[in-house]
Amino acid sequence: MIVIILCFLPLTACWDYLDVEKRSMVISVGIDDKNGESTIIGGIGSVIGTSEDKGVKRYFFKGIGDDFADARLHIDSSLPFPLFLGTSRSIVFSESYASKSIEPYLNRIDQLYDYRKSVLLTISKDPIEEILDRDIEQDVSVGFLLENIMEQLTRNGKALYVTAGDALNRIPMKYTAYLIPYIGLKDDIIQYLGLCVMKDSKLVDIVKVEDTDGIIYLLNKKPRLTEYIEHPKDKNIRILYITTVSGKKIYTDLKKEQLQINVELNVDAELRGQTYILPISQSEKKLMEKQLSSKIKEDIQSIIERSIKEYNCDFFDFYEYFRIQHPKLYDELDWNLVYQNAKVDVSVKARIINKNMRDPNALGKK
Amino acid sequence: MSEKVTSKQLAFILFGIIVGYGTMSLPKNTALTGGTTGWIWLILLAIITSIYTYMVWYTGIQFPGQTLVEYSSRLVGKWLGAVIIFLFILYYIGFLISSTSIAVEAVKLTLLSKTPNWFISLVLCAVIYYALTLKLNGLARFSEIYGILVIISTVILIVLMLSQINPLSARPLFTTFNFKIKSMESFTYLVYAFVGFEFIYLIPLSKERKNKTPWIILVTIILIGCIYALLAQASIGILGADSIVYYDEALFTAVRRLNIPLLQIFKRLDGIFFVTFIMTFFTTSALVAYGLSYILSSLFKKLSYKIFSILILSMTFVSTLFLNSYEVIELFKIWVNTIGIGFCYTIPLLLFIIAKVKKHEKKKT
Repeated sequence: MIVIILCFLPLTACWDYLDVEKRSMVISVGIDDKNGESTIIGGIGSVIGTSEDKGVKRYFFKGIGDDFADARLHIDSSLPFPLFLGTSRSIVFSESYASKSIEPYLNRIDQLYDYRKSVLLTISKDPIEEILDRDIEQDVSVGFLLENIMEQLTRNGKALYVTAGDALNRIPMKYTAYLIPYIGLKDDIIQYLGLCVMKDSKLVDIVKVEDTDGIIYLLNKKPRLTEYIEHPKDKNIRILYITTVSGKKIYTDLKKEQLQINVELNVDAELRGQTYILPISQSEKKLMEKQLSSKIKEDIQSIIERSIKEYNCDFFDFYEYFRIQHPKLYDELDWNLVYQNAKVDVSVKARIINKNMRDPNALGKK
Repeated sequence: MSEKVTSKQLAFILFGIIVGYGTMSLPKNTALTGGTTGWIWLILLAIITSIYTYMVWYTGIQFPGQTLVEYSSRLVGKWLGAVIIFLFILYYIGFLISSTSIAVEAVKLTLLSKTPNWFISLVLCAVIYYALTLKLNGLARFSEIYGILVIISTVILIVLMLSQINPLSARPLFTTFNFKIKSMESFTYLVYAFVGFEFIYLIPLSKERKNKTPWIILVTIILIGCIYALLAQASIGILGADSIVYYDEALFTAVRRLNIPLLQIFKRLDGIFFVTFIMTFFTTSALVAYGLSYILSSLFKKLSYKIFSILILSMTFVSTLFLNSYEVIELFKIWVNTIGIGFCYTIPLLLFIIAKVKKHEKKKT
């Protein structure tokens, strides 16, 4: 019996076996639709055994067709080896495609077995050919570059990493709203430029990176942002703080058809730099804490109000909080109607917790 | 039959046969049954199942050293006994074919998409045959080892999954208004995930440690319920209660969504945990195949156990080839579900009552 079983062992996966060198491994995928035709382009990294330096060769593919299946057929007809999507690092949608709806391609990602659902989604300011078909020096290829940029920014609490899975989870929900990172060329360098507001998988607007602080405070798991405060005594001296969120509470309530959203945030601030050294007294510290609180509050309040008045798009997941806090009411509600009249109350308590192991008051102590 | 099984092995056999078949679609059906509060049903079902398991064990312990095939006629008479055994055989044939075909289907859809069905099925049947040659004691030891491996990796999986969930989508855990069954069909699938405890009928029980065994069985079933509830809740947390209902193999989809950079090269976990899932499929199929060969070989003494196991596995192999379209599998599943739930939740009750009455009469006389 063991002999029979042993006979099967070398046969493992024989029908599915395909050497790494015999696959076209996709690193990045770009989606566009020009003149009503679907375009898929992307970068492939192919492992070649003979190469001396890197062992990886890069080349690009492009397929244009009436729909994605058609475009894919064009791609397949031009490749030496079958396409393998499991290695793709990031997907770039063009702005024009995103404004129509990215849902068809998201569903395609869901249904194509070899796609990783944890692949990064981005929307590009510039034509996707220009972004993806680019020789860069920072990284192996654009796909990796985008993934690494977004990953390091998100881990350091400055951006949001949105995967295809995140977006896919939201599509069947009663209310669909999410954010996707916005990338593009700035000074001829590929950069993270902000966040795209997606409502029902359609691009509504773009929040520039300067204005995203309020979003990051609420949505990043561990926000870590920098804030500048002027010294109360001298306006030329700017003091730099790194802020982290130590407590976040969101309450929602519906009273007489009026949605009330309360956001409570506790922020810890660490002193990280002063343009000129000037002592900070206890009362000045208190004053700065107040300034910092009101500044952060302003950031959050303004972006939430923008989401209500400009887009009527709740990308802060307040509807999830509402669903948890009032499950019965949520089932009967049309969140679109409720959210556009929502009242927001943000309270921020900032606390300066350390001074970067420095003592700006040293001389004052005499 | 002089094969004896310790109570620890009994617990692992229960674990091996119950966990497997229904686990993949469990999160989906939990979400369909009760959204984010569906886990309560799993715990309730676990409690009901543990009561039923106790009944099965109680009936068995009245006839130490014997199995249902031997004592059914003494308990309910010749004719009714034959009907019960016949139903048992019918049910186990369905159970075996469906669990094997689902295992084959799962391997094909998730790992080896280009490998033909017959080959996966052939390998699986060959390995099951090897397991069958070990008989009950071998199977018990083997469920013990597999059970430990499965429990350890499942616990690791649950911890990893819980670290990655979106806490918003797994809540609310309790609501008073949501506490009703939203879809009866998915609820039957949840019930079906607990089926398998009737295997105790086929194990000759001994009167030693009579007081301890029921507790071990109880703990095992409750543990299975907790594992189910945690897996379901973690998958709902990863995929969201609204989106999870679209995935038949929701658990595997959820595992595939995991991406934990902290684990370095192990950040993608689907490959590792699929091995665990295959183990659970395999133990279920092997134990059911054993049960079937055992019943048949003790009914028809002319042919040996070995020949029956070969016959049964060839039948399974052939039928997995025919169960090749979605509709056929669905129809088949419904049939197996109905007969399985019917068998598991009526006959133990009947036998238990009769056994209780008989014991009472004995005491009187």
